[in-house]
Parts: sequence; structure tokens; C-alpha cells
Amino acid sequence: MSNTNLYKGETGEWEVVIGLEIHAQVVSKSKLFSGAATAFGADPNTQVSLVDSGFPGMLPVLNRECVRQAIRTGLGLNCEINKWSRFDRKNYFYPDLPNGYQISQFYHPLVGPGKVLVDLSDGSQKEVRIHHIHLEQDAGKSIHDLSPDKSYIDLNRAGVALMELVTEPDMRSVEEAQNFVKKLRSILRYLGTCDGNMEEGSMRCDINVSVRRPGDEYGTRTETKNVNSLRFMGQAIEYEVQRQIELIESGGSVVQETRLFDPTKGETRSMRTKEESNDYRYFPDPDLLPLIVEQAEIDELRESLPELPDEKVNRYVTTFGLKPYDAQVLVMEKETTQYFEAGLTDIKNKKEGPKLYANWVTGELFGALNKESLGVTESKVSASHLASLINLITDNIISGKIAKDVFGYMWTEGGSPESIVESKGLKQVTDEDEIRTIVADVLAKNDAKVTEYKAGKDKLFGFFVGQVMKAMQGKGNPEVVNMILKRLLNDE
Amino acid sequence: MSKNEITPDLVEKVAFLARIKLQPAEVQRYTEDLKGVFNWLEQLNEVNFDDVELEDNVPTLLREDAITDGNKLEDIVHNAPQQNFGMFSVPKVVE
Amino acid sequence: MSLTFKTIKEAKEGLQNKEFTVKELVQEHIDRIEAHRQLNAYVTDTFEQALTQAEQAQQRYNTGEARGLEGIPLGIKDLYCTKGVKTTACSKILHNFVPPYESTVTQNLFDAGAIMLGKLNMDEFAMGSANLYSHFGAAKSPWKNGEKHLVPGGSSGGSAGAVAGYLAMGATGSDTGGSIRQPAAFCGIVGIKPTYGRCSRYGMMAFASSLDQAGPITRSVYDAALLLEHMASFDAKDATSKNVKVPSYAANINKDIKGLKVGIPKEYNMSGMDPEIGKAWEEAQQWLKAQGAELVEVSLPNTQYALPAYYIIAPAEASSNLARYDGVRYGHRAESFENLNDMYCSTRGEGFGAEVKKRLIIGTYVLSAGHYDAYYLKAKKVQQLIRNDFKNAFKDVDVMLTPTTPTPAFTEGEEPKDPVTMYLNDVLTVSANIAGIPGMSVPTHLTQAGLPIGMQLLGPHFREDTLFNVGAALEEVAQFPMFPKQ
Repeated sequence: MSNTNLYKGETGEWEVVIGLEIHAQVVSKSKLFSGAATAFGADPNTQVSLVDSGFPGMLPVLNRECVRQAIRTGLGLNCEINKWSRFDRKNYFYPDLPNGYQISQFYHPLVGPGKVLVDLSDGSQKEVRIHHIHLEQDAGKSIHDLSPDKSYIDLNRAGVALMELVTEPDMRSVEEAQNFVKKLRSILRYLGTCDGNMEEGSMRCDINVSVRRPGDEYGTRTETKNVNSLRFMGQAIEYEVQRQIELIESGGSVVQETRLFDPTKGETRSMRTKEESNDYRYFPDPDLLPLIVEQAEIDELRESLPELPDEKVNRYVTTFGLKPYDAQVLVMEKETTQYFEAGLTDIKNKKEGPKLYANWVTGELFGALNKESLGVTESKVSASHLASLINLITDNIISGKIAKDVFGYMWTEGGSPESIVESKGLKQVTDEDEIRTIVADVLAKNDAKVTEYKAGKDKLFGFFVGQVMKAMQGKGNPEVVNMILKRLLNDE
Repeated sequence: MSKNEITPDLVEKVAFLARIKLQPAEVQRYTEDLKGVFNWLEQLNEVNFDDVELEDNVPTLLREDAITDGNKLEDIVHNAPQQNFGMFSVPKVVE
Repeated sequence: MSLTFKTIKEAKEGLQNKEFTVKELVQEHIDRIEAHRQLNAYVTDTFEQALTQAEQAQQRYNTGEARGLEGIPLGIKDLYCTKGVKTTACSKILHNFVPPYESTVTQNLFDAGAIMLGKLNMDEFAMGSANLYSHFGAAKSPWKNGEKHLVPGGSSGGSAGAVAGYLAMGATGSDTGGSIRQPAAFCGIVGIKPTYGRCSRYGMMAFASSLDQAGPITRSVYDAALLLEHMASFDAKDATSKNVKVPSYAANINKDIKGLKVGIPKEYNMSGMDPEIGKAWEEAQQWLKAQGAELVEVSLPNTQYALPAYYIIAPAEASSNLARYDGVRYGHRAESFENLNDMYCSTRGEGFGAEVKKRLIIGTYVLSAGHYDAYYLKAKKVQQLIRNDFKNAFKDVDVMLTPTTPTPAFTEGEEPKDPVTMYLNDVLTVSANIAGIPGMSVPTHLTQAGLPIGMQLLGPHFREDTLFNVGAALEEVAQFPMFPKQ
């Protein structure tokens, strides 16, 4: 398949090649190797054990739940699980790294190759391969702005469990990269293995970018570190692509290096680290023996996995007749699906109801939420009330049009749709005698138009419907109104 | 690896990797010492490692996920050469 | 006769029978320590604390609630973190470090009623074989050759010197390549390095994590058994600790070695061994045979590669383990520096002694880019070969007998000057660390010049009980003359 996302340079077209390394904080109560808490935002150094702060003689002991979370993640991303894995030490000196080494699964990761299907805006899907996922410790935080000549070290984050997920260089556009992260974030949140909160740093991206002529070998890549939003990701990639193209086209060449993204300028810049500091001297951590996982535990975790986004989309499409795109919108955020599925049980019409309900969630409900910048969990209309509203429509108690008014009252005033319909007198009229009286009245008042209609001006039928509905304040059942209008106009 | 590769430059480079400042006399002394040591380590080249399989099958201990530690700021910082605001203080780190 | 000359077993009986009080026992030790400062055994005293504990211990004797080591005064190697008591690993870089926590091994000892007299001298971060490399100056053996003190061995030199010189009834040591057994042999006392994983490493300052193991140094095999059973435990805070029940080592000693197969590894008869030690070894074999043991020649073909492998694995691990001493969170920080890297380099350049710096450079080098396979991986393969050797040999024998050291102790100033010859001190002990098996040194002979000689017993994993039994049998025949009780 040819890439339609090419960049035009002075000398021709260029293709971007993107690979990602994503650090996702594991959801766990305590740290990877110590019993200190992981919660965000505590006072400096209060969530630190003597293990995290590298005191003499302190030893790491692995958190079983972090291992299980990584396995769940691997299973959710169709990855192989390695029953034998091991922790290595990555040695370097930095004040926020108390031991002088980071414990990380460098040589033998817990999770092996897998793949993710990324949904693109043109309705197509792209497969992005996962190279591996390994467990490692986060470092602490250096605070530079409290003093002109000192940095301060807070170790609250030191030792928090991270999953580092490394993709193959399979992405060919900003959209593919961004949508990969969106999809990944969605899956991790379904699994409950990472909260996906990019602002708090629970998910951070390192982006490997290179450019090449379409069809050529990979070019030299740069790695841009610690990008913490989708927007910045887009900016960082665009900036790197332009920089690399200009560099090559002006006769230079790209240097393989680590770069830092500057969010205020939207630019990347070289970190210019000393060559020696890259000699990490990895070797197996002698304080830890191999991590050995039994097949029974993998099976148990596989069986307890929740239904994931792709499976949900399939189910929604096949059982409810949703369009794939609509289904994807519904499942992207775990909370939206939870809302949708919470009301689904209350839907009475199992044939038409779910699809109508889904349209209302992605239409009216999303509209109202967006207007007030609310999340679905903050919705002023509960899932069961919205489902009741759908039931009123499918039971022909109100029309879709009236339902929108009812929804408006539900949103602003609260209350169940039934009580609103009752108190506001919005119930649909289906009684034929009552409607016939009104239709006859309308026809009588529009004598001339009736004559025109009968002379063949069929288009006037809609006019009569409108007049009847107006007279009934929108409450007439459209089918009954149509039927009676036709009967009377044709003198039946 | 031959002992001839051990030079004062190499010793200084490795000492920097280990973040150890050496005096010139120490560089000289370690260069000589290391030549001797690495020459002696050469004997491992005699060993036939063809069929050596590393056995590494004793599983590491695991712990349950519970908050059992932390909230000991005083213990964490009271030995520090320099601290302020409940944090360790170091010369400014420039990135 | 001074109470300090008693073994732990005798002291316990005396306390039980109210022949003397815990306070008297402790005070006599304090007095003797004060009178023998020239041995430089203790680097930190905890006398006040010891006397307070003595009163509590006495209470327990009075009410019949005495625990296994109630009131027994011990010295603790300065490698074990002791809560609220300065712990330095005899390094300048930790000269002011006061841990807010207790190591599992010392906690276990205190929970059994033991009393700490103070922290014992050692080679800085346990790197050394003569206790010459301590920030607080060399520790000495009470034994002399002529007028000069012998070196006590290392790295647990303060521990061995203190126990041999009656400055403690027993002491903790730590053994990475022979650091308990070699000083025990040099000082004419008993020391055991148990199976890797037998004692917790929690709170023990790491030298080489995969080889380090805690153990006791005492004046009798029985005492070593008693101390070890109170030091050892499974510890959920040490991921390499083993959940194997700790037997009553002391009570199980019966010295019955009839029919026991004792392996004599032929490769241990190496060139450079002092002829007097070779002779002692042969005699010790005959003693065991006379008591009904069967001597079997065994082969451990990769023995000669153990020491080179050790001098790759141990420095490699140390280079990483000691990276935490950076002047940021505790310990020494250089006075003047230009920037962060300079602070690290100056702090560590000033804070570490010469031998530690040398080993950190060796360790950093063997792990650096392009050298991992040539050194570390090769050393790990040698380790595998040595493990296989022992596994095969222990199919045929229950225990092995070897000398502990190839030479007896030298006097201070006469130590070998080149590092490789110095490292050869560990040549007979290091295999036990590489293989993770238990090893014990028992004093058996004096050379003609009056220098102690120790024999080493090696056993399969977790068969410390066999070592104690054979060791006690050996001890009984040897009737080794302890350092004069004067």
C-alpha cells in the first residue's frame, strides 16, 4: 500500500518512519521493589522507603501485582509472555537515581512480540507491531527552580513501576503515531494496568523519527525524549521531519542522537550528552533471581481479562448493527462504554433500541457534555434515564423530536423522562378520533391548498403534516397523522 | 584483551565512568596493577566453554502489593550532607 | 581466670548456674577491650548500651526467661547496619553514617538476647585479605611471630582478632571470597560461611551480592553452630534468601563420623602451598580416618579458574553496588567541587581507599561496552563449571577436607606487594562462594614458628550440620592450643 502522507521537500518526496517507546506507569498500590506508596502529588520524600533511597544494605523485592499487570498488558496486546525473564542493572550516575543504577529488564523482558490494530480516520486499520514490553523502575525528580545554584531531589517517584513498551518502526504518519497512542491508552485503561494520565506523567513517549525516500532503506533516526501529550507528539514529529529533510537536502546528514522536546517552542534540541555517559554497563541484578511465571498463572490472567475495545466494536457492530466508526467512538474511552452498557440493560426494544441509544450517546449526550466540558462520568443525565427516554421513543410515547426537548429538560432540570413527559404534557397523541378532528379542521382552513393538492400538487402533503403537527404542538404520532391525512385528502 | 591495552588514559577514562577522581600517582599505580591483574585473567582463555549452559532457574521471591513503607522523611534525609525543603540538595544540574 | 576466656557454651552454663552475672561478663570484656586497644579491633564502642542490655539480660536469667544467646557479649563487623549506631564499612565515605535501621542478622542475634560490645574493624567494604585496608587503620592479630603481630587476615580481621584475643565471645563476619574462613585460620579460631541464602543480606552493606554471605567467628565449633542458628533465617526482605528450616545445629552435634565419606580434592594440593600446611592436611585426613571416616580422592577440575572468575564477578558487582556512595543522601561529600560530576568524582576519589578504588575500576572496566562477553559472561560460565564440579563430587562424598589457606599468616609489613599474589590468599576458599556451598575453617595445627593453621570443610548446599559434626570431631582430636589466656 502506498503512503499518502508524504512530505514534499525541495528535491522530492520524503516518507517519515516512526517508532515509539512508551513508558506507562503500572497501576499498583506500592512500588516495584518496595512497600512505599505510588500516589501522585504527595509531599517530597514522604513516599520513599530506604530501598528507594538506596541506603546501604537495602534490597529490592519484586511486587507480584506489577508482574501480573505487565502480563495482563501483554495478553491485551496479543503479545507472547516469557515465562523466564530477568532484571538487569543499568548503571549511570544521576542525583535522581539513588542506587547509581536503574533496575530494568534489558536483556530478557517479561513480554515478547505482539501487535495493535490502530484505527485511522479514513476507516482503515493499521497494524503496529510491539517489539517487547519490560518492567523497570522510574527515577526520582530533580527540581531546578527553587535555587539559582542548586537542584533539589525528591524521590517519591523513584522506584515506581513502569512498563516500557517498544514498537517496531511501523508508523508512517503523525496520525498513525497519535492514533496508536490513543488506542494503546484505551486498551491499558480497559485492562486497568495504567491510568493513561499523560498530564501527571503516567504515560510518556520517546519518539524515534527518521525520514527516507519512499521505498528506500531506513534513514538515521533521532530519539526525542519525554513527550507527554498527543499534541506535543505531533509537533515533535513534524519538527523533526522538517529538520531532517532540510538537513539532508542541504547536503548534511542526520546524527543518531537523543533530543529533548521543548513544549514552549514546539521544537526539539540535541541533549549533547557526553559519550562516556552512554556506557550503561548492563548486567543481571545479583539482588534478584530470575522471574519465573507459571503457565497456570498466565492462563488465569488471560481468562480474567475484560472485553477489550476491538472485541467490543465487533460485538456492537454485529449484535446492535452499529456502524464501525460509531462503535469505535463509543469504545475509545472505557467510561463511555461503561455508561453505554449500564443503560443497555434497560433498553426494552432489543432490535431497534440499542442502535438508537448509541446514536443518542454519541449525539445528544456528547454534545451536551462537550458544551460544558464534562466527562461522561459527570453527566447530568444518567444512563438509565437516557435508556428510559429511548424506550419512550420506541414505545411511540413521544417522537424523536419531542425527545430532544425532553432531554433538554432532563439535562437542565433533572428528573426522569417519564415524569417530564407527564408533567409537561408531552405525551404523543395516537388516538385516531382526536387526530381526525384536528386534521379535518386543518383541511377546512386550507381549502385552496386542498384543491391544489387534489389537482396533483403532491408536494403539499408535507405542508399539511406540518400544519397538523403545529396544531398538535408536535405531539401527534407521525404515522397516525400521515395515515389520517392521506385518508381524508383522498376522500376515503 | 591484552595487558598492553591498559594505559594511563584508559585507567582515567574508566575511573571517570566510575566517577572516581585519581591523582597522577594513582593513575600510574593502577595502570601497573591492572596490567598484572588482566594478564593473570588471561588464563580464562584456556577454558573450553563450548557446552556450558548457565543454569538460572531458582525463582526470585515476590511480595504482595501493599503499602508497608514510607512516611519516614526524617530517616530519609537526616544523614544528608545538604538538604532543604525535605529534599536532597546537589549542585545545579544543567540539562 | 577472666570470664572472657570462656566459650559461649561455658558462659551460658555459668550464667544459668548464677556463677557470675551478665554485667560481670560484659564488664570484663569492656575492661579487656580497653586494655588491648593496640589490636585496633573495635572501631566503635557501644559499652553503655551493652551494660544496659546486661541488666535486662540478667533479669531474664533471674526469671528463667533466658533466650538462646542471653547476655552473650559479641562484636559486630562494621558491615552490618545497626540502628542508631555508626556503621561505616571502615570507609571514609561512610565515616559519619548512622543507619536508621537494623540488619536482619543483628536483629536476630539481639532477639536471641545477644549483647553488642561494639563495631569491629574490617577491610574497607570487605575488600582485602589482611585488614590492612581500613580507614581506621589496620587491625592486628593477637598472635605474634617473634615480636611482631601477625595480620589477622581479612576482610573480617577485626572480628577474628577480637575473638582470638578474647575481646568478644563471638563475632559476626561476612565472607565473599574467604573473608570469614581465612581470618579464622590466621587467628587460630573457627569461622563458617554458610550456604548462600542461609542468612539474610538485608542491612549488610553489599560487596558482591551474589557471593556475600554472613557467618559467625568463634573459638569453638559448638559456639559457631550456636551463633549460626541464631543468625540464620528466611527473610522476605532478601529476594535471594532461602526458605529452608534452620536446624538446631549446636544440639545436633554428636561427632559421630563413622562411615562418612570425606573427599580430598586433588586440585587443592597446589604448588605454592606451605609444606607445613600440606603436612597438617595429611595428618587431619588420618585423624578423620581413625574415627571411622572413609577418605575418597575427588576431582574439582576447574578449581584454578575460580579465583580469576571471582576477580571479575566480585569487582563487577561491587562497581555497581558501591555507586550509591555518591555524597548525595548520606556519608562523605567533598568540600569543594565545580559541578555535579566533579562532586561525584571528588567525593568518591577522597572517600574510597586505594584497594576499593582499584577494584571499582576493574569492575567498571569488565562491564564496560564491548567487554561483557570477554569477562563477565566468561566468569559466569566458569562459575557454572565449578558448580557442576561440586555437584558431581558430592555424589560420591559427604564432605570435603582441604586447608583453608595456602600459607599461614604473615606479619604486617611483609605482605605481598603485587595484587595477584595478595589475591592468592583466597585461592582455597573462593570456590565455596562461587558455588554457593558452605565452608568452615577449624584450627588444627601450629607451625614450627607457632603460627596457626586452619583446615577447611566444604559441604553440599544446606549441609552445615555435617560441617559442624566433622568440625567438632576434628577439633576434639586436634586439641588446638588457643591463643594464650593471659
